[in-house]
Amino acid sequence: MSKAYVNDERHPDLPPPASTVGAVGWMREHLFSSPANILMTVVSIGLLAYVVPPMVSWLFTSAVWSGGADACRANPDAACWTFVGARFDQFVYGFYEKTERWRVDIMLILLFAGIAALVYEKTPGRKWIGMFMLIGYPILSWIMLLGGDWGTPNISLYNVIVVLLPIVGIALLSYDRLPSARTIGIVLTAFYLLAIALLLGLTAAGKTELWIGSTVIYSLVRLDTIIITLIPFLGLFALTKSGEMERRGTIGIAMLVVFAILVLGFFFDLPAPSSLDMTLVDRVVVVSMVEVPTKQWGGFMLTLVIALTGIVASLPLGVLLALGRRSNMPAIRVLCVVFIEFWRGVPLITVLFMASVMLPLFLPPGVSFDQLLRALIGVALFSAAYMAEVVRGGLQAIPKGQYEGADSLGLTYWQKMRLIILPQALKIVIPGIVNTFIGLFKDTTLVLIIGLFDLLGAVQASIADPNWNAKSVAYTGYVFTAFVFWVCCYGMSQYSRYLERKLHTGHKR
Amino acid sequence: MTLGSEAAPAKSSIINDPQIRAIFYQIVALIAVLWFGWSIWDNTQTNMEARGIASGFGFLESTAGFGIIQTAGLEYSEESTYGQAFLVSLINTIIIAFTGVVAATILGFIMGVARLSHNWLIQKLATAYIETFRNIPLLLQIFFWYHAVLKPLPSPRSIYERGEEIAFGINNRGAYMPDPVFGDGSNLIWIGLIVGIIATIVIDKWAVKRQMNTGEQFPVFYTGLGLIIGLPILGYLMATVFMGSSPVTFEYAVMKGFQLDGGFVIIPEFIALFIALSVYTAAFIAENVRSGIQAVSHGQTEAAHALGLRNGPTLRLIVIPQALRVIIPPLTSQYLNLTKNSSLATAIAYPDLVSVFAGTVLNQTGQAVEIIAITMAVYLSLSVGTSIFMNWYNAKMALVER
Repeated sequence: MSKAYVNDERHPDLPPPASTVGAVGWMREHLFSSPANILMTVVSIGLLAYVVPPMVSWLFTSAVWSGGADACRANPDAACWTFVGARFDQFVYGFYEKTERWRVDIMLILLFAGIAALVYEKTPGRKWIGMFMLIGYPILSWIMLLGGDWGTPNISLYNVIVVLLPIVGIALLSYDRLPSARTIGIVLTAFYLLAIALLLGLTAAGKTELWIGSTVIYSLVRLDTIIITLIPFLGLFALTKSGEMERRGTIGIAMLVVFAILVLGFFFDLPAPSSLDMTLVDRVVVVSMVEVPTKQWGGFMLTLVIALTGIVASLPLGVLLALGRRSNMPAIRVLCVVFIEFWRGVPLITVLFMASVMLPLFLPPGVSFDQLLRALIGVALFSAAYMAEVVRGGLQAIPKGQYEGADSLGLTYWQKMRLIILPQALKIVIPGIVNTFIGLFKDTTLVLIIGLFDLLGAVQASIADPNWNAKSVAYTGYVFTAFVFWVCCYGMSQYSRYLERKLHTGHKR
Repeated sequence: MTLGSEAAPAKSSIINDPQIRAIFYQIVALIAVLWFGWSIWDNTQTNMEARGIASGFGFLESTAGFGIIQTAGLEYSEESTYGQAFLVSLINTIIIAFTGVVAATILGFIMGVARLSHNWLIQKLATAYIETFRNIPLLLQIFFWYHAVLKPLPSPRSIYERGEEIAFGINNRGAYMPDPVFGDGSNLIWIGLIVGIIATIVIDKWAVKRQMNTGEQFPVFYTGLGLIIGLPILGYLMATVFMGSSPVTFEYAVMKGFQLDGGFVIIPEFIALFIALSVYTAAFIAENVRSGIQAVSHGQTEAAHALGLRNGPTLRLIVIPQALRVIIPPLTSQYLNLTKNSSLATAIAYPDLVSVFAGTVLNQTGQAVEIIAITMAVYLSLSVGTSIFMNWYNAKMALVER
């Protein structure tokens, strides 16, 4: 029996060659793998050595951190941070009333808190916070920033009808499984009956006006108003009687038609309801603050106002336009395509010019918007067109089976979109939406061309100040502004990338 | 069992007929839009009458009365008409857009490839470049180059003597260089250039045909390069010999009085706009290039290697054609963006379409509607034209699936 030599233990792995591991290995692979690579590395290091030390010196070590304009004039080859410090308030608030700046502060804090709560995924009630930031926050900030008296408008019966009617009609049309339509119908009928009885009774009593204190309850009633008021009453009556789905749709449409007539009445002044004063309640002022006209708004605050308005207005508009562009109805589709392509085809600056020069010509004589509102309209329409294209991308990416599945379940068009298609489509295009926001945020700087002082405008104006005529002031101002914008945009883009990674489960290369 | 007892389809109201509803909605939408348009038209008429603003395009014939600092070789003076001012400003827009597109493409491709480099340092530098310039508003970049870098340069008065000739120089009036003057005999140079280009095209066609037939290759690139550069030089030499002097002379800028006169000048507004536009757009193009190259699956490269192609041909024949299919649509939209963004020229008074026409001319004539409409129409036709071209290109390049 021969004894074979068999190793019954596995030989331990040899360590990898020293040149392929550790810092040396990494550098060999990533910096010096070939002659061309070595050359590139050397050139890059040279470039860095040439650029970075002077930059650090300019930005930090030799920069002027204290003192006034004289200190900056004495040291022209370094950043003049005292300039930013001295003008910081103007950069943030523009010419906003000094004593009222706490209002801006509150809104800014609320904004950052809201964003933080939305970004952090474990926040309870994120959905509601999101809803608030999209709908409530813009309204609240408009009230807070503008100030003045805010409360109920002068409520007249006419207002009540005009406001309630479409809400009821649309609610009935869209929510066709309303459980208590009957009850609601009865309540509304009672309400209208009461209102009309009041009107008729007062007319019969020969009263043309009725006052309680300084509040006009009622004045002159005209026949056309009564007729207009009667129509929805009849509609509601029919509704409570039938309760059938089919008829309910009909009634809803009828109500919308009536509403359209009422609105047209406003514009054409045909039934002259606006000459009628049927005030129920005089104005109730809820909030009263010093009014700060939009002319005084400026700085980073204005940048945020424009960007956020654009974002909030462009999302719903963009979704509607995208749906319109994918619609089966040729007329709607053509209208949406023309709208989208028009706004996407022209530069924002011409849009802003148009908003500031031409919009006053488009409006009926006597009606005018202030400069900021005009710019906001321009920005909103412009970004809505871009948003529409992003959303369309999402709609196209949803497989046809989803549309057909929803159809086969018997869902209506809006149900199909609301419950099946849009939730999926919007989720896909979140990165695209964020990218549109970034573009919009950067584009807000353009408003300075039509005379609004956003952050860049405020900086630009401060640089021109002869008290600060040091050479380094312009550089410092621009570097500071660039840094602010960069932080915001880079933050947003990183967040969008993170979302992209999170939402993109599977199919990774 | 009878089949006749099938219930007749339930009769539903006309209102629930989707087709009729669709027609109804469309009619409502059309009426709303028409009404909206009509009321705008009507309001505009009323407002313009009330403000005494003239209408119509007659103003294009009247004298402009202002100068333009960059006329691109066109005849333009203060006596020229608004129509000519429009033309000059349009050309200026095209110049900035074209030069910007070329520069942004070159820089963008370099940066996009650098971002995928195996060299860690190069990759990080390219990333830093892209992330920095993409996230800073363009207008701010334009202002930076113009107000912070170029405007504080010394004035010609402070650095040049009276009567001094300047070949190359940069000051706050712009970048100066010699202006070539093509004298007698310089036609030969142009003829040489044209012949070179035509010859290259012919040789290319011939080489492709020959390769198809015999498989032999011909170095078209170097031959073409030689012809296109060599023939004009030959023409120049011939002209010099025949005429006894060089056909091309250079005119230098001369310090006259308080400013420089003559020479080839690039105004600082152009330089600032050009740098900002190309650097900003290049950052976006770089991202498009990167994603385009990454979109070509690695299997394609491996398959090409398996077929025996080396790195160069693999890149040239396999990867780039496929990457271009992904790159070109977003690239075109970047070109369009650059063209539209060139309208920011108005912020630093580079005489482009928006600055001159929708700015100065609008202020002088007050005919906002016509002028904004013409301006928008120019940009719109540019982008619609590009869209049509892109759709055609996409259809041509799309993968044919069988």
